[in-house]
Amino acid sequence: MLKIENLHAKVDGKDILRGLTLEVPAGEVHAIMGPNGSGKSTLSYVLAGRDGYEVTEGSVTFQGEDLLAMDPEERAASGVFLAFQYPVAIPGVSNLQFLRTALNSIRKQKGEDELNAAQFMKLAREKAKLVELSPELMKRAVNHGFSGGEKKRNEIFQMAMLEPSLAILDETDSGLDIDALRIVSQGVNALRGTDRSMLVITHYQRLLDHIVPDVVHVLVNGRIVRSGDKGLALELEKEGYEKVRAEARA
Amino acid sequence: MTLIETLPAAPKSEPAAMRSVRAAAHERLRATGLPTKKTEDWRFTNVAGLVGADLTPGASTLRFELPAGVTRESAAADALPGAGPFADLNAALAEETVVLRAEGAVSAPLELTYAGAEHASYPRVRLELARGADLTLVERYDGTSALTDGVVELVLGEGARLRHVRLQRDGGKLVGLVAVRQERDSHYGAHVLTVGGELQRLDLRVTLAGKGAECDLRGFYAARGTELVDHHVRVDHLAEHGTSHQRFRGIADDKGTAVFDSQAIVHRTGGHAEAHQENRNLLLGPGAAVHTKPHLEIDHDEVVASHGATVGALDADSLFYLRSRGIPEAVARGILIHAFAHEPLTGLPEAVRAEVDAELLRVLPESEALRGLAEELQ
Repeated sequence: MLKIENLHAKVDGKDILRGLTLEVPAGEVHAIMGPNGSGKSTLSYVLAGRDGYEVTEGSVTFQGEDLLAMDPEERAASGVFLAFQYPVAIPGVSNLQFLRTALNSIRKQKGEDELNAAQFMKLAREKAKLVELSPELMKRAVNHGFSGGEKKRNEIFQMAMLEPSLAILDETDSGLDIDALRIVSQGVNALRGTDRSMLVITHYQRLLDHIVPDVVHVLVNGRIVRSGDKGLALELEKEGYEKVRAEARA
Repeated sequence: MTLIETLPAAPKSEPAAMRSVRAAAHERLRATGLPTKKTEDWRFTNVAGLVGADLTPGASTLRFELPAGVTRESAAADALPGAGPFADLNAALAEETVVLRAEGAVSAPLELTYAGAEHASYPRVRLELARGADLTLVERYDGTSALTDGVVELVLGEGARLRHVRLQRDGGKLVGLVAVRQERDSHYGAHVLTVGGELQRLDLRVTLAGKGAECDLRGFYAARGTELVDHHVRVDHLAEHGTSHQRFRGIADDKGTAVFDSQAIVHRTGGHAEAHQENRNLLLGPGAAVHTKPHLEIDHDEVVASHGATVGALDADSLFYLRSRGIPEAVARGILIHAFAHEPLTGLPEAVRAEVDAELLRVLPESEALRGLAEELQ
């Protein structure tokens, strides 16, 4: 599904990713854990195609295609979805209108028929239940005046609507209380499937109690330094990042 | 200065009072001349092109029908002294002052249409709202005029409510003054849409003369091509417990220039005032320019005031967020620009909403990408 090889990337002239290699097969959930500044968010933005992230070396292949050659909207149409760490509020644009435009843009790029208002609403009501998003929130301006938890639920709602093949969850747990974490995780788990891969980026192990990964990778200084099963996350939680950091230096 | 030197004399048939008003306006104009770039209020707005132009008045182009509740009164002598050279030019040359009066709750909107002309025109309207009257006024500036120099006086009696929509889309040159005087507890709400031609200048001046008067001034403007769009908005708080809101937004694209000058003045007699000013601008073209200057003068301690002005590009985070959801860049830009433009236009009277939406689709960049989505956006 996703194959990252020897990826190097700069932000503001500074090297952040330094030879990252990673493969996520279809249907698997991989967690990427790492200390602050290790390059976790940079990786998610590079994959989603944000301006200002300069790839200097390496490749990213997604479903056999060169992901880095695509515009952000083309990546979305081909099935990449980024759940933002800090979702953007857009006053004046209603959540539903935004999402209908997004969904129909993707359908159009894929050569599918656009959904009319009634079909879209039916789908939206169904998917909103996954993350307990109220109809009132669905109609409000995109993330405008939303609490931290509501923003993250809205991200997962969008993911449910757009049905990506690869979902990148960038610190989706940050700022969530335990109830919100439970709701968001339930939503994510409901979207797991054999043809959908997920990359769950997090600083803390607690999210992985709720979204149980197939593989855990540790990212330090822009490279994957260890990979293992979910036990690795527990080990990191207990011992902290110092040990892997020291190993990476050695 | 040819025109000013040779202004036609007032018609003999006019009452003496009116003739003397005209003569006084003419006299002031002869002394000041038309503004130059050295005139503080006209620093960015060059009207040199008008100096040698033929500004002889053409036939009146003002059209209106009176809804039940609005009557036409006989003209009175009045001339807003000191309102500036264009107001004086208007006073000297206006064919007549159309005086209208509204009583009670008027259900149908009063619609004034200025068709413009190849000649210059000098429409002059005075609208009085009786105590407790309630009215919606819609002004439309259409056509392509050499110069439309219009003066609109609005007088709101005690407790009167006026919703004023002004659509400035004259394809030529439009210089307008709207002077509003509000008595006690009256409410004035303005929505100005300026999407017109090469020169559009509006002076909107509101005097909160009675205790507890409120005004809510909103607008959106677009300067495209080589257009120049200039708004000067001023609110004077003369009486206590006055509230004023100014909320204007605009875009400058291509080589367009937008000027926004906003003043709120709380006089010594205007305590317990609330005065808010906000102006936000999107600079979309590399050759475009925005000059914005909010200022607040306070002569009283008990005032709640805020003001802010911004000039910037489209927000990169928002643009990326939309694109990351599969929305093509042009559509994403269009969505953000439309959302930006619609914000100050919330609360528009129902009667003009569709018309304003259509105007925005016509003038905003990237609207082409939004065809078919129009109904989704608001």
